[in-house]
Amino acid sequence: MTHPAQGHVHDGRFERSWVLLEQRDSIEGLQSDVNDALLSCGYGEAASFAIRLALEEALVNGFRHGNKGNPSKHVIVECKIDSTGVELVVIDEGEGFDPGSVPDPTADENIDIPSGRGIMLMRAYMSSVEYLHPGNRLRIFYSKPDAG
Amino acid sequence: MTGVHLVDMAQPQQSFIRIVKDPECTLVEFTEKHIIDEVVIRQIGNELTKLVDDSPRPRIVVTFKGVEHLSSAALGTLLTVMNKVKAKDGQLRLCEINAQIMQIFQITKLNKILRIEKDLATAKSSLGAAK
Repeated sequence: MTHPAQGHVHDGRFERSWVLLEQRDSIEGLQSDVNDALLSCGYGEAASFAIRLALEEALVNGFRHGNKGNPSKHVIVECKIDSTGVELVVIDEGEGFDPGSVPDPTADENIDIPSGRGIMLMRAYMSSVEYLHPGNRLRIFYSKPDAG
Repeated sequence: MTGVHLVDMAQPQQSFIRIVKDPECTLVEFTEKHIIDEVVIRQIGNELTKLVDDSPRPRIVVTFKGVEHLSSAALGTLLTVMNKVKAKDGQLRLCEINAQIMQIFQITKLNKILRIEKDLATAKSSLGAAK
């Protein structure tokens, strides 16, 4: 079985990684590349919306909370797309954190607090969301709805 | 349109909203279809905060017509604005939200504390009488 070349769709599969600084142009470029790959691999508008949202939240968390806004620190994104789903791994240069420490933003006492909804949205739109030890490596997976 | 005029915010930074004032309320429209960039969201928050600060009792309708994407940071900004409006005993309405964006409000349960109306006419008519 041949593997797709980095950044090219081959036989309905795509694989690429990026090393990013917190620059809007780079993030938009990544989002655009992932979206183009999704469409080429037969994913629809709902998947495109969900993955853009999850990727944005993951990147913001990586840059803002993981790298603590340090403009010289990087976030690495690895993306694999095939007929079963989309895997995204987002790695920051932070020390990691415990996602269980984020309070439920829908609880009555937290509902009008402006922050803390990013992880919740990722969990709502993705099939799985895992923070891998020590917590600076996020793996999210979106199952293709008709993959069976 | 009688009684309606565009307000030039005269901001040194690029603006990402359009503000229309009429006798009933202040209408806010987004110029961006993706409200996800933190710089954009911060600027929108600053402009909305100024609107609230400049009014003794704000009556603001925010229309999401044309908006295709929203991040959790944008939700946070809307909540901050809602809290400021409430603190001044004002009113805030959101409207013209597409189905995908509406789902974000529902997942986060913010549709329970932010007043969301289907369209602009309904949003405006839902505002209480100006005092």
